[in-house]
Amino acid sequence: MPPEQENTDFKGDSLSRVSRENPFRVPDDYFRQLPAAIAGRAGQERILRPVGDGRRPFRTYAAAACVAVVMLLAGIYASVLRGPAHDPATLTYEQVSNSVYFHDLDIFLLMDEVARQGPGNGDSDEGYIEDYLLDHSADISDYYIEQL
Amino acid sequence: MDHNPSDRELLRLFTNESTRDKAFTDLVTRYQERVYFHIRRLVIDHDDANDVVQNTFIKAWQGLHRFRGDAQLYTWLYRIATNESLTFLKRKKAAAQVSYDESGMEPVAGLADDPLFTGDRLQRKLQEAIARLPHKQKVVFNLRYFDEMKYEEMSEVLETSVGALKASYHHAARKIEDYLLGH
Repeated sequence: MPPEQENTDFKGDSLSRVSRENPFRVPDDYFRQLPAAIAGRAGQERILRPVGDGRRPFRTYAAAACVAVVMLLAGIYASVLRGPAHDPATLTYEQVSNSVYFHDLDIFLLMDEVARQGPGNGDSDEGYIEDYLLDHSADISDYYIEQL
Repeated sequence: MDHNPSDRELLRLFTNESTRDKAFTDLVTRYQERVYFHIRRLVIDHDDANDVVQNTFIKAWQGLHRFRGDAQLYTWLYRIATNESLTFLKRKKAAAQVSYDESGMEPVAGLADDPLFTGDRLQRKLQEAIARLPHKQKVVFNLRYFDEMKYEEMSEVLETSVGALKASYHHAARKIEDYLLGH
């Protein structure tokens, strides 16, 4: 690792004592046989699904159009059912979990709400929230900066 | 053909029907170890890692003709491998109908008896500590600590900002330190 990067990473005393040598092993000749195994599967894939023919049959476009129409209708239906907007500060845990406004919520509010009403322990809740946010490409810098 | 073609050259050869198979085998040979061990550190068990690494390269085979080259090939492979690994873990957890999240220990429980794990006690404790992290934080820690990947490259793999990744790594390392101190 370049020295300028190494200095910026946290590394505790205990972690420093752990060997960085890779402890995982593979069976003998595994990496000599793996390319052939994958090539064999790729050969089967080629029969089932030619690579890069670039042409999509009419049925593909028709199916995509049907899905788009259904999603549009579902969105309109949901917006009718939803009714007036809630004040995020008054949302219950269930509403937070299921809310279509999830992306609009403040992360600190969400953490407080989960801590106050959620069923799990702190670490699990935090992990769940972080995974959710990372899954949705959210920037959690602000949250972590607050934690450090 | 060049004995050691660049990634760009491999991609070009892949688009040609007559050189596709050779180009793909070269690509697998070049990246199999890095991709495999990235997966192995997430799923722990070799047989599981073998399944996931094969699925990863098959997904690459299916998508390589659409690869635009605006990212590095290996970060693209890491992204597929990460998604395949996390999907695998979720499916395995659902199939077993047990929660790893409460203890986080299930995948590493057998390490002590695993002949394909040669780590010492501290390395096993480190794996236990990593297993307790949320999945994405686990990926961040592994990519940084073991693969020594730059944050900018991790940002390509995980489609997350560099700032968030640095903070996530810091948080993971703190948790691991706490676990190691307490065990």
